[in-house]
Amino acid sequence: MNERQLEQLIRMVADVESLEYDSAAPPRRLDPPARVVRIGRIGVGGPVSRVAAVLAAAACLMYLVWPWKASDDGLRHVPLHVRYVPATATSSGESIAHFQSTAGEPCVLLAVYRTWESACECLSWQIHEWDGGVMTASAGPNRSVSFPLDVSDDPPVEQVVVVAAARRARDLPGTCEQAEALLACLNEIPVPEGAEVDPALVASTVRACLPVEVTLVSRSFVVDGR
Amino acid sequence: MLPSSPDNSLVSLARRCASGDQEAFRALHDRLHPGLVRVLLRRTHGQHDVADEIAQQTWVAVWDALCKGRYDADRSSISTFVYAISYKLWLQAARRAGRRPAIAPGEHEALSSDDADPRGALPLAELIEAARDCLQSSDSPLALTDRERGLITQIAAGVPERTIARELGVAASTVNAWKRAAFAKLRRCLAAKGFRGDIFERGSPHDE
Repeated sequence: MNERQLEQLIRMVADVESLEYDSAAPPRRLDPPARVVRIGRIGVGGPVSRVAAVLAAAACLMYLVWPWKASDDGLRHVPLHVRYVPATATSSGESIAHFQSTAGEPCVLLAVYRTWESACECLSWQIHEWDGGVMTASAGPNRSVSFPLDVSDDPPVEQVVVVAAARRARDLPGTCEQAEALLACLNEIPVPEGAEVDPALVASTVRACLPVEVTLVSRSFVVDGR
Repeated sequence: MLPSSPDNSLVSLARRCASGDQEAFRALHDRLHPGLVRVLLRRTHGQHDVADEIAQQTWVAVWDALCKGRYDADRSSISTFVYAISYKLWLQAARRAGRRPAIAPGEHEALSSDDADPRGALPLAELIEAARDCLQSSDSPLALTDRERGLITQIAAGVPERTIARELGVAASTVNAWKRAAFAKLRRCLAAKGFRGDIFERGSPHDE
């Protein structure tokens, strides 16, 4: 098997992963939806602090002034190719999730995750803050983006992260109001039955709250007793 | 750790499909069709009509294969099997169009040498499953390191070695050496699973 054939095989594997993780199922009601709306960082519990609010405001400002470049509208329905590379653990015990864009074009990424909310003792959706407190991150062509996952096992609930990739920044929330609207939408839609074992089902919830042009990659994390 | 495989419920749908359950087939279609169209849109460079046509043909062929017992859940997941059929049908469509889509050199090779009959999708699906296992495995002597996995994924996506070298701050020859080592490891892993020689040629896992 020569290198070209192996490369072809790797692309096929990436296609199958994309087929599985980016496929959505129609949502079905399982349990009452959580109604927590907040912006936070993965693994950080508790209510939104003033500092977080300031960071979120800074994120919004940064987003608005960022020199986004409009992409070709003719490509907007063609999915971006973003794949999950298994998380690696650091010496501090934190896991780092890697999402790799294998498309030869830049994209904008938003990460949302469903995790335990101690205030309501329920699972709720939150928006990940990237370094600098921004809501979205830009990824260059064929580049990886990484973020820490605090894999707390208390309580030991399944948690899911969904990364949304878009060519155009305007396809993802651009203001604090839009971010809150996205969270409200996510938290009002019931997560489908079977989502505990199938992150693609969770992605279907996110799919319903974002433009069709956005590509979604979902992954579950945490959960064994460390 | 809780199971994170996205295939758990697909497995049960596939089993029900194999026994002629049309409702299960509809559910399977609803689960996989959007992703399949997206994959085909990439292969057809955004030609929606062509992608939709191949996707439709794929589901007809999948149903036919399930009814005729040509799918074996022990050899491949249903999603990989569906993909393998769509790949064969994409090859057929590209050959009928009389041109080779400008993707990557490997795809050109595939167009000239691969068997495009969707009835032969199961061996291809098995090969993809084996490669996937080799790429994801982390607990065997043949497991790729994160660096090797990331490197060959980027190379397969068409990123030039010089670009990778520049980003990593190493010489291009170093990246080339890493790539060769990673591919050699992948080859050995595939050979251990019985895939050696030509891409669609499979022998016994233990014959050398």
